[in-house]
Amino acid sequence: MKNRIIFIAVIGGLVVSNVYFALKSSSLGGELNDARKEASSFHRNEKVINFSRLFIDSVLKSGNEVDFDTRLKLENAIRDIKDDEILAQWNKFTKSQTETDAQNEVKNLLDLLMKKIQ
Amino acid sequence: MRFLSKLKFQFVCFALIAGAIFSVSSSDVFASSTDGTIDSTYKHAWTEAGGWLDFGTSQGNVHISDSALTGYGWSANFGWISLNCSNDSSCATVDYKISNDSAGNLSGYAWSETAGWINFNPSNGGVSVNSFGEFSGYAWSENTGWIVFNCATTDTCGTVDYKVKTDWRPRSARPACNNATDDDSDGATDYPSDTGCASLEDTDETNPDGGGGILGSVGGGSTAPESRSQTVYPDGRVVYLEENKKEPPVVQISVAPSAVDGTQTASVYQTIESAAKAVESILPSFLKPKPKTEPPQEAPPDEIASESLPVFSGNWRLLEDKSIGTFALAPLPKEIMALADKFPELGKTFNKIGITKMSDLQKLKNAKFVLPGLSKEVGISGGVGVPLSSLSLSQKELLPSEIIFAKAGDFIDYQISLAIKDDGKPEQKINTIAGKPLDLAIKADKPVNKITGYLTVKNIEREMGRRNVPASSLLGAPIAAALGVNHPSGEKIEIEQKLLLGEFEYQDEDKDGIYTAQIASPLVHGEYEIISIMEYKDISLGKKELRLIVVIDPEGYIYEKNGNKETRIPEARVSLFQKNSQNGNFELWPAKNYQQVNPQKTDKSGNYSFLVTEGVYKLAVSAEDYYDFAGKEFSVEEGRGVHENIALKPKSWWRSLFGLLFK
Repeated sequence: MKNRIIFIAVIGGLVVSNVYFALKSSSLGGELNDARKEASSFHRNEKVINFSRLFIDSVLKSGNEVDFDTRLKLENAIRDIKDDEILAQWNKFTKSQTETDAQNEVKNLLDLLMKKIQ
Repeated sequence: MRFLSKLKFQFVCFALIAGAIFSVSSSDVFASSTDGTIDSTYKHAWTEAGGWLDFGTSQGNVHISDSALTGYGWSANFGWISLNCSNDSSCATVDYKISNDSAGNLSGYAWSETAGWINFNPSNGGVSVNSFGEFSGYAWSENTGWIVFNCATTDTCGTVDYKVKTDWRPRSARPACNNATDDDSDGATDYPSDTGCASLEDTDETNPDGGGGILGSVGGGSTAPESRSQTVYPDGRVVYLEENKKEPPVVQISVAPSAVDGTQTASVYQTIESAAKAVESILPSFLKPKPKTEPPQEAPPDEIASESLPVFSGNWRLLEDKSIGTFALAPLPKEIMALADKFPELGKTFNKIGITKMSDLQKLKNAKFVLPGLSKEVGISGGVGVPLSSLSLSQKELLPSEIIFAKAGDFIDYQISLAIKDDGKPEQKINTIAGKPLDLAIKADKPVNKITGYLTVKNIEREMGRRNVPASSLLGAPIAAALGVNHPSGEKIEIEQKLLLGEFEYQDEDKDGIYTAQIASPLVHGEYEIISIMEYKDISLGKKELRLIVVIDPEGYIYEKNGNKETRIPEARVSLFQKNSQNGNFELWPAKNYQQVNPQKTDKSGNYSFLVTEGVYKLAVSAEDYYDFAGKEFSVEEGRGVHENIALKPKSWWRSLFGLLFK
């Protein structure tokens, strides 16, 4: 009888600990996912900011023609963000045929870049 | 029913004519019908796993002959796909290729380093080329899955129109003189081997027998072989005839109508083309071939970066000067401009330190200005205020409107400090002491029905245990008040939630246009806001709101230091002395003139406070069992409180020792 009680107590303890660890694992899994999302968001923000900085320094503040190397850096940086909306807006800007269009599109691009920072 | 049959018949006829026209119009591709290349437009196959496969790249150089395909296809995901081991001379290692049975049925394998073997004739699939040179069907690879060569195969041309097309044609679809078959069994095959062929397009290998096609012939000639005569055809081809064969005279031939006459052929083509255009114009839009949709192709960044684009030329100003100028040179906010107008000295100060536009406000972020009190504003100096009632009409005229002036009794004017908030708006602030009277005065700029004031809590910082505050003194009326900010007539009032401590009405008993109200300062130190709303008689003007921040400073207290703790001393006598500017002596400050008491006796908490006029003062404190305290002189600005905390030393030696031991 005594052994039986001990056995039931041990099994009960194991069940409780299993449930506890399962809940704990689930909760930690959720936290891990949140952390991953945050890290991903952080990386994207960093890329958006780096591109914005490069764009402002090398295009908006430059009074000269943008050279090939800088253009290549910009093209690579904008693709590295991996955001179709930003890339589409960038293409709209680069394909501008008039100064007025370019001014409008550059404002839209900057607006979009800022909105994408979370 | 009969009508439907007629309609069907008309549709079939129409389809046949249209088909004939399209087939004839595409006849110009026969020039490479035995060694085809891939069409520059229709060159893509599709696979779910790998996207588009391009068989028409210039580097890939795909060729289709009657026996096999050579060259490479390209995929952005899988790289180059070799169609024949001869491409890189690797047949000795692995012999593979895409074979063609000359009827357009493809078989065999292609090879990709990434995708592996691609079977062009798998079970349930297979790729073929029809008589128009269009690929159709499926190829299979374990890594790419099914590869579709024509949107028609999956019936998806409505979404994306794609296919692979070549100018190679199956042998059966080619003319007799270009089908690699000895059609007339004369031992010669096709043009130019078979003398019966006028060109590769010739549909008959049999020798011309006096029929049409000959423009003229000349007998003999120095350049022609002996014993033969030659015949010149429209395409410039020269056929030598055996001497014993009789040819019709040139004249007879040239006047006879001929089915293969070059001029007539051209006119037939022109007729067919114009008919095709006419038919096309009457075709309903859903029967017309849909405009081609180029599959998405992204050029590599280095290619894009090498494009010459005007936005990168450096000749354009990408941000408009006008908008930037509007931002940087924006004038000062209207509230600050109005203040500068009402207080000319403030306007002069702004000009002197270069505050003329919105962007200059940054310089004022940590600066504080002092607005003159009511008496100074109307030209009365001397540090002591005057009662409103004693002001002359001309002095009242000088008082700026829409400003809340604060007084304590008749003679003390509160000093109003002015700071610029983060949003660029001015904030007017006064400091006072808990429980002291607060007299407010506003001069309306236009006739008003009434002016209502609200005392609200802005920020309270309480020291725990400092004072037992009865709930009724602060939170007795915690209701949310709806207060307008700027609200012209008809405009919806902006609602904000505030902790309302009291509501009061301003009065103008002498009808001089200056409205006054008296309230008691809150008992708890912290920041409060007095919001006064003027309701104009002219309804079209709506309402105007004025705000004044009131900072309640804590009272001073008298205490004894016991180690790290302080013990408040009740019943201590605190006297305030003011320096006489004429003889330099300190005299007891005449508190009665200012509705106060001097000397004061501290309450149970040891508290005391004075609200004084501008001047130089000093404090003296005495209490039973304590040594007297005589303070140093200090200056007070207009309308500020005296509320220093003063420690007294006990006369008993053991209490002093206790204080030292536990210091």
